[in-house]
Amino acid sequence: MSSCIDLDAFLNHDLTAQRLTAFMQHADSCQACRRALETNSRIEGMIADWTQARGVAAPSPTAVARLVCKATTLRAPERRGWPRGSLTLGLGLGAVAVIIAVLSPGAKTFMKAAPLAGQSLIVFEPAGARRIEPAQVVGTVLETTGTLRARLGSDDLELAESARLEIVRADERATELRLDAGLLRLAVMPALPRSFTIDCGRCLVRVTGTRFAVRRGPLDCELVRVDEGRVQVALADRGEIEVHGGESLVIGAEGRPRLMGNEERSPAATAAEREGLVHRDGSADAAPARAPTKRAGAAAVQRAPQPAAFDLEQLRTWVTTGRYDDAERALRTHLAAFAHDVEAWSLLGDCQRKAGRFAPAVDAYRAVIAQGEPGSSNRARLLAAAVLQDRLADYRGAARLLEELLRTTATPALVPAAKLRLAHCYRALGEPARARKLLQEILDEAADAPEADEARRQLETWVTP
Amino acid sequence: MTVICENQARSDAELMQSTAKGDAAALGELYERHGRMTHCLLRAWAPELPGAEIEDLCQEVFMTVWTNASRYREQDNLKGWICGIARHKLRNTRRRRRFRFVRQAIFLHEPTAVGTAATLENEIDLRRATDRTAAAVDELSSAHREVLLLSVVEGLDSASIATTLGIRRATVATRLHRARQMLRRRLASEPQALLAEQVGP
Repeated sequence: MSSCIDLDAFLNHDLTAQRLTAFMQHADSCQACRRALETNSRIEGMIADWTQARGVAAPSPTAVARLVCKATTLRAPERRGWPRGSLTLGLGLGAVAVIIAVLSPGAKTFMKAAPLAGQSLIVFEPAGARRIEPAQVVGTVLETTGTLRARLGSDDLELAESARLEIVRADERATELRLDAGLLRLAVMPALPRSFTIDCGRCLVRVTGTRFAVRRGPLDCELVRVDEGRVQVALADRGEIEVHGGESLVIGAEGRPRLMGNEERSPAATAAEREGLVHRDGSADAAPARAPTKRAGAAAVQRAPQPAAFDLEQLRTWVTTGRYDDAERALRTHLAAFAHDVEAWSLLGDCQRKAGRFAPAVDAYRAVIAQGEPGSSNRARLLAAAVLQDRLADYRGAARLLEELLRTTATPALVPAAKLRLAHCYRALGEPARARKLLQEILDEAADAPEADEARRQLETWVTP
Repeated sequence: MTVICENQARSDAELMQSTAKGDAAALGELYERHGRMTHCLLRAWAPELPGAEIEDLCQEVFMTVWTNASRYREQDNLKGWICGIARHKLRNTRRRRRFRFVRQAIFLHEPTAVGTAATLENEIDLRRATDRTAAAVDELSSAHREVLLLSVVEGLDSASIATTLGIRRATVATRLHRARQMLRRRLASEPQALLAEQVGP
C-alpha cells in the first residue's frame, strides 16, 4: 500500500515499477498528492521555460557534424599502453630520422612529394547537408541568392546576399578563399594550426582564430568586421592594418581604409552598411582615411584601449550639461586610438571652448580642419575664428581662417556669419575699406540672413577712423 | 531515401572503445546522447555565460573526450567523467574571461527575421513571461539547479544524479526537495507579483 510518503521518491524517479503503480492508485484518491503533482507539473513548466529561455537543447545535427569534422581534422585520440621507455626511444629515433631526412639532398623532393591532407566541405542546403570530399573541394565555387551555411574543415562559413566564394586552397597547412561578391561571415577555430586568408579584391584578410565577417560590395567597397580575436588586412597599396575584436575596417571606393569601433557605429549606420555599404556619415567615402600602418612599423598599430562603449551622443550630453573634464578624458582616450575621428575632435573643441580653455579649443578645431572634410572643417574654422577673435584677440589668425572658409563653397549657410566676423577683424586690423566691402556684400547677397541686420546697423553707424 | 538501422544502439562503453580507436562517428553518437546533459549542466553552473560560449564549451568538452578517450576505463561512470571535464573546462573559461573582453552577441546566430508589430509584441510578451519563470530557476543556487535539471530535463533518478555529480544520494534527495520547495514558494507568490506589475507602483 502506497502513501504520500512516496511522493518525493516518485518525483525523483526513484520508485520501482511495483511501487509506482501503487503510488498512482493512491494519488487518484489522495487530494493532497494530486495537488502536489499539479504543482510539480507547473514546476516542470518553469524548468521547460528556463531551458527554452537559456537555449538548452540536444545538439543539432549541425553541431554534431561540426564536432565530428573537428575531431577528424585536428587530432587523433591519444593512444595509451606504450611503455615509457619505448616512447622515449621512439621519439629519439624519430628525431634522428627527421634530422637525416632534412639534411639529405633528396629531402626537398621528398617533402614536396608528401601529399597534404585536404579538408572536407559540408554545405547545408535546404534539402539537406551535402558533403564534398577533400579531393573535390579546391576550385569549388559557392554562389548564393539567400543565405548558405557551410563547414570547411573545422570552420563555419555563412554566405549571404548573393555572395560568390571560391575555395582556392583547403588543406592542413592553409585555407585560401576568394570572395568575389557579397558578405561572408566566419567563425574560425581559435589557435588554428594553419594559415587562413581571404582574398577580396583590393584587400587580403589574414586570420588567426576569430569570429569576423568580410563583405565585398557592389561598389567594390569592402568591410571587415571583427567580433573576436585579431585580423590582419593587407591592402595592395597601403600595407597592412590590424583589426581587433570590436572594430570594423571599411574600405571605400577609392581604396581608402577607415577604422572604427563596432560600438561607435549607430544601429542605423550598421544597418545601412549591411544594406549597401555606405559610410557612417552616409557618404561614399568622404571621410579621410586613417593611415594604415606598414608591417615594418607594426608597433605604431598598437593603439590605446578603446573605451568599452564609446558613445558620442552621451559625450555630447556631458558637454551640454557641463561635465567637461569627463568628456575631455573620454574623448582624448578615444582619439588616441582613432586620431582621425572628425566628430570627436569637433566635440573636443566645443568642450574646451565651453570650459573656457580657449587655446586647446583652437587646437582641437585645427585638428578637425586638418582632416580636410569640407563641412566639418568650415564649422571648425568659424568656431576657431570666433575664439581667436573674441577671446584671444588674435585678429590676424581669425582673419586667415575666415578667408580660408570663404574660399570654399561647401557651406554657403556659413558665409554671411563668416563675412560679418571677417569685417570685424579687418576693422580691428586697420583695413576699413575691406570691412565695408564685406558688410555691403552681406546686404547684397544675403539680405534675409540674420547677419544682414547687423551689417546694415554697422554700415549706418559707420564712423571712419 | 530510407535508412535501415542495422545495429541496435551501442552502449556508452562500446562507443568509448570505438572513440578511443579513432572512430569520430562514435564520438558524434556520444555527443548526441550526452550533449544535452552537458549543455544543461554548463548552463546550470554558468547562467552568466552567453549561449554561443556554452555551445563552444560543450564542443570543447567532447573534444577532450575525443583526445582522452583511451584514458577512460569501462568501470568508470561516463556521465560523471564528462561532468568532471565540463567542470574543468568551465573553470578554465572563467579564468580566461577575467582577462579578455568577450562579446555578448552571438555571431552566427544573430536574429534576421523581423516580424510585424503585432507578432513582435506577442513575442515580447511571451519572452517576458518566459523570462519571469526562467528567472525563478536562475535564483536557485547552482547546487540546487544542477540536481533539479538533471532530474527534470534528463529524467535521471537520484542514484544516477549522485553518481554523475559525485555526491551522496541522500544529498541529491535533499537538494531536490529543497529546490522544488523554493520554486513552489515562488509559484505561490506569482499571482501577487503579476498583479503588482499590472497595477504599477
